[in-house]
Amino acid sequence: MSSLSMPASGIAGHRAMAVIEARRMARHPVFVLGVALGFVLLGLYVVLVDDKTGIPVALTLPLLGAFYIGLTSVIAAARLTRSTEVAVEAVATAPGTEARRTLGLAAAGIPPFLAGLVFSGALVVAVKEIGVAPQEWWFGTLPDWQVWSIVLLCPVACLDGALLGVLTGRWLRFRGAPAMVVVALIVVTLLGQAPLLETSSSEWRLWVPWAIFHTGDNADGTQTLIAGNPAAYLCYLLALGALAVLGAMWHDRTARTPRFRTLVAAVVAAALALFVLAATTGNHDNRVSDPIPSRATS
Amino acid sequence: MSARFWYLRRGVAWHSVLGACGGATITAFLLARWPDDAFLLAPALLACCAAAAAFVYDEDALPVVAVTPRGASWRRVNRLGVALVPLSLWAVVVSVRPGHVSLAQPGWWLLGGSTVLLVAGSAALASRRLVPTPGALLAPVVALAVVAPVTFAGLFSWGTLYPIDDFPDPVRTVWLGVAVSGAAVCAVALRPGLRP
Repeated sequence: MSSLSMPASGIAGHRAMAVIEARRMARHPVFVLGVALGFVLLGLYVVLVDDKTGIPVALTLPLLGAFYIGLTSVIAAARLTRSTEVAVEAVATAPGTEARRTLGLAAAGIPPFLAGLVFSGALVVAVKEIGVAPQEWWFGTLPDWQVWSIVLLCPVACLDGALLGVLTGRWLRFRGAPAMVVVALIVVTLLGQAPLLETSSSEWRLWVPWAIFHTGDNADGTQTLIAGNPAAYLCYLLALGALAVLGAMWHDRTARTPRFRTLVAAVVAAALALFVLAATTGNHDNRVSDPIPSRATS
Repeated sequence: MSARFWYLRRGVAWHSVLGACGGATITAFLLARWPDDAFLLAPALLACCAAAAAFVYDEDALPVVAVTPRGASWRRVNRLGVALVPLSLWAVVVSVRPGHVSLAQPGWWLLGGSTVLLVAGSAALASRRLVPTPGALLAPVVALAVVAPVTFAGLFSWGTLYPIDDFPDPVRTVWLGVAVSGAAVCAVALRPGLRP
């Protein structure tokens, strides 16, 4: 009954739908499990792997949050989106369109984004308290904006994970869709960048939805910072998230107005421009740090 | 025998099972093309096979068929046989070793067999609890869980659960533990009756 008493249109109605979807996401067991795993592993890493120079390879750790929170958000958001389909005939008679409901579902990305933000904050605080080796790629050896951009990839990837889940739920109706999307995302992300990492064209790997900027420790104790502009890449990921929402809304034929098509074209153009900007600015070549003797294995 | 095949042909969610197997086949081709990335592609292939096993017990009309005269136990036992489809695919891929990846075959057969057994057993247990389509949730969660240990290997000094060249004893012990857990879950799930 609460949904029927909701304003049929306008900001207030949309805000009410967004709050409902954000709450459903925050309570979803798969999402909660992913958040718990992400933080437990970060804690284990800080406690178990801390060596005498401080926290090793801190700039690779946003991957943990993006993997556990982001990928579980894909599953949870896809299930939230599909969950309303059982009542699609009843919902279709209610005020509002599918596109509007999809826009409300996009708010399911808020809890993953906040969880990713807390994860990144916890990482920065832990590193500040424990410290890092002076040669480590971090504040001091890199410009602050680059470090912040790489660290903030985690919450943006978590947000994008949820938005990809909404897109998946809207378009793919077979039961295994979230599983296949998760596996495909991992495989594409790996194969899209691994062959390029050691080449002089490594910046063109940045089309993938999760590009790495830091290799971890090399065998000689050095670390490699991969080429590209992380701030532009961060914005590119935001554009991909916006495209996911628009793609999900596109499922509703009534939403495909000329204005909406123009918006989609504009976001596609922005995403392409940001990708080119990410690949052509920032660090033009891979950079190798000074070696950290205690980490050398050969 | 004919009743069994008739039931399996019509009752199993073949689109989901074979779709996931198709994903595994595509991943096997990718592995043949990029054998250097086997550290992630081989677990991804396993994830697809495990996801296929998760759909074996999907049955929309479960509340109806669970109380048919033939009985829920007959249904659950026969459906477990469908898990042989992803299991066979896994066995074939490990035997063929796409891209000449030097997989230690006995270890990788154990690894795949134990995972598929645990996943199919978990789906059977959910089915026993009258969950009509356990695969819808189990498949994506299992796919993610299978690939997740790859992230540990890069960060911690625990070693990998998916060793490519040689299969150390501690890793074998872990997978034997998974196999025993899978067998135990299957035993619980296949007991006669509807609920624990």
